[in-house]
Amino acid sequence: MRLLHAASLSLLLLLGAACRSSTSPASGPTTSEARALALAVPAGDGAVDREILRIQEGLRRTPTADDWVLLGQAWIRKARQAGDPGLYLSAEGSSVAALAMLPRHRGALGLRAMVLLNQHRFGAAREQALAILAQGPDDVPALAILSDAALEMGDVTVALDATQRLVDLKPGLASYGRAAHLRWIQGDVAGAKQLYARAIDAGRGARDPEPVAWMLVQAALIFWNGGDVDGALAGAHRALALVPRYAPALVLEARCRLARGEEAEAVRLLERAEAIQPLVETGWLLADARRRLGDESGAERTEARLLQQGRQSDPLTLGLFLASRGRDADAAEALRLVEAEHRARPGLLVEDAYAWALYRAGRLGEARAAIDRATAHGTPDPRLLYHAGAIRLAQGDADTGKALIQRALDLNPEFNPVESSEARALLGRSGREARRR
Amino acid sequence: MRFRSRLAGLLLAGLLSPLMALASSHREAPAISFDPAADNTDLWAWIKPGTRDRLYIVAAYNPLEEPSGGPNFHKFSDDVLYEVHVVRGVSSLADAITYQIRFRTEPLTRVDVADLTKGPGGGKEFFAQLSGSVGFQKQTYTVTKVQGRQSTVIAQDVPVAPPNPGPRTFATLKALGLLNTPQAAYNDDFTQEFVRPMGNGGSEGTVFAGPRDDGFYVDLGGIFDLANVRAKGTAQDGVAGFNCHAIALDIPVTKVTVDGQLPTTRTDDSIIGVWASASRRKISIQRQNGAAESIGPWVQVSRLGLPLVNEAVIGLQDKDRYNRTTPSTDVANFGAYFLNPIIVRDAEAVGIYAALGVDPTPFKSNRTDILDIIGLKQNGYTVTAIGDVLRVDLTTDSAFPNGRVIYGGTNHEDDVTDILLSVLLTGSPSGVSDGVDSNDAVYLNRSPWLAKPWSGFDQGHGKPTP
Repeated sequence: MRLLHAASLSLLLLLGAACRSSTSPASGPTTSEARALALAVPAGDGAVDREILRIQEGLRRTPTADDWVLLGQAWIRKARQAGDPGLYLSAEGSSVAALAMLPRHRGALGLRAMVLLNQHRFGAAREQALAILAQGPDDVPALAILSDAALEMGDVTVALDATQRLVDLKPGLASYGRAAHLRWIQGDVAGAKQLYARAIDAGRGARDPEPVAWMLVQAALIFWNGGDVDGALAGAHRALALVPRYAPALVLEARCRLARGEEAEAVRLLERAEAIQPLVETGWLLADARRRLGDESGAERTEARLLQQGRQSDPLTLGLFLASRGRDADAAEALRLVEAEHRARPGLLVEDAYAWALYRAGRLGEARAAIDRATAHGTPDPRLLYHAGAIRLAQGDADTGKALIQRALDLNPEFNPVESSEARALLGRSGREARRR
Repeated sequence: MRFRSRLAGLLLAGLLSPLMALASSHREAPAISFDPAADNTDLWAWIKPGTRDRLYIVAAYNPLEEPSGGPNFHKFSDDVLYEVHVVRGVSSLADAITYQIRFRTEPLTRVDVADLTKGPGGGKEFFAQLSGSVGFQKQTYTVTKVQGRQSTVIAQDVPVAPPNPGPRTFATLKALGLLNTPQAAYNDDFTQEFVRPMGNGGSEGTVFAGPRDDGFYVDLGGIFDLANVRAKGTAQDGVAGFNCHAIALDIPVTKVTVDGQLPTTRTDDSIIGVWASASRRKISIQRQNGAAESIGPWVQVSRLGLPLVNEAVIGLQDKDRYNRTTPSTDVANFGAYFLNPIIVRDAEAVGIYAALGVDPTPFKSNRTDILDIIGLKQNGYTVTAIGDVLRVDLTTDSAFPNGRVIYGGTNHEDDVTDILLSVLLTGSPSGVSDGVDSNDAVYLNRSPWLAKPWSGFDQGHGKPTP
């Protein structure tokens, strides 16, 4: 079934490419199509699969809008656990089926908003969340989605407000975890750790372990960003104990291994992760790891794959990849890709990618403006600081530039398999800096 | 193959969800998650038959808890405030008495998790402390009784009963000194070691906290299996082999009456109501000057009074609101659900009324009779403060809806499913059955009443029956 989903995914993408011009992006499934998707047989025999089957059984006997929504929520849990975004189709189908019975069902609209978020239609997700909140100002899932969407759109203030309201209404994993992330963004590292600890406690023992695994990885990333590789590994291992094939944990573990010089192990982990959840980011790290191992042709094959994949489904990461690779020939495409994302959703990470693409294109003033926006909240992310330092250096501000780069390396000397060396090289140069390698 | 051809059909029919940006779902935090340690799953409250001088309350948390088999053992959360509320009289839903229970796990070697240095301290310790799952890491609790403005600790540092490791491991753990008991197995005598007095010389009663057999079954997806009701089919107890975490109180009735006496006749004050809850702390995202954690007041995240209300009566859209509110606002917030039970319309749709030859119309709306039944009008009370509390008449032996009874020494408790189904569908407390009448384990004949917890090693299972 895993293969079927992948196959149907490619089919959809191909069809999508053909139909893009003739189909309005807002069209969705009809009600009977939606029901079919929602009632698809889940692959797997875990707790969430049994739950899906049970709810489907109940729906066949006595369909209710509430039960369609519960089914959709179960599909989302399955999608997250399996790392298979195709399963969001079934969640969307559930939402449509519920709305067909009760057009203003807040839970169903919340499901729709979650699907939009997953599709990276952040503006639409925000609008849907706001519409739900207009009906029910205390709607918990809508507040969570609003916070996430606002953050992606670059509106930290709205995200803070929504998450604070969320915590005030329902302290638990979803609210504590978002609050932790917002603390991290604002540079409150100790406070972020405390809240991740609360979030993890609040999800402990749940039959669906993925949310806790997710939080463990997020907490572990804080330690990673602070250069505590052992700590980050401990977190990744704990996550894998809960969800054995959890791709985000495998990727983090690979990162840690790479930092320790264990390239072969890193490659092995990333190959596993890529097979489970083929993200551009994973392919990128795998290419870097292969190159470290001396497998140049393997690295190039991986990069060719991620180029194709990124063009279809993840322009942001691809743009950052091209900007990071730094080849003259790529600068224009990098900028074009990231610029489009930036127009749609100028969140902090997009500002960073935008800044780097502008830097590679030689547009230093704009690069500086973008990186300033990316770092405005004091996020102690070594990669952001390195980018900020490099841009300053290029602008001729050696003192601040070098201080920023040094801070990045102090935080985590191996923050990135390629950029760490670049950073060290920049510190070694005097006066002149290069925009391109 | 079936799915592929169906999907192909859908594609040809022009289905096109805007999936193009189908990519990384790797950055979205979970929006919906469960909080088992703070999730009320059941509540029983009844008085000792005959003498009527003891009030028994069992509040269970952690629904459908898998028997503990490691690596993480289920436990109460140190971050949660557990409460058992007792209201009194016919006109008030304010707490007459609140029993507050707070847990504390023996900490591992304390290390400042904010320490950014590698090596001892930092991430390894952070994740070690998080786990709290080293088998039987000692956890204790304190019970505080709140009455009006007075707050009294009535039990302090009481040990929580441990998980049931299974008979072979029990002996090993004893040998290692991790289980300190003369008992040879996790039997009733072992359990009784964790039933402790409250107040001076047990004047406030006894208390127990720990894992137990889940004495009941609640199926969120299909609570009342209406098809089975019609067909009287082979309904099964779908929760065989699950555990819960229970707090059991055994309280002298004189402690909950207005005058400290046992009531001899029925008065407005000889009726109480019980409900249980769980709360977690609010926090302020922005800490002031990196000061100590700005921890806010408690926010209720779960509650339970009458059985099955949250599962079967309250609509999905209102569950969060139900969980964070108290019974005093139930009529305003949820009255419509009680007065117009959705299940009647569902039953009609499925054909139950047709099969019974009964017109459903009188049962669809204006069901003040439901409010009367849960207000124990049939016992002679005129309750004006209506809310989701389990009411107990202190002058008569309990039987649901007057309290909810565990019949110690048997495998029977009040069959609340049948009674509620009958009440909701027909207005009378009997006549409709879901076919499941007994628990899979025999109840104890004393507190904590629920049978010993299933062990992960030689009992329990994985699959609830559909």
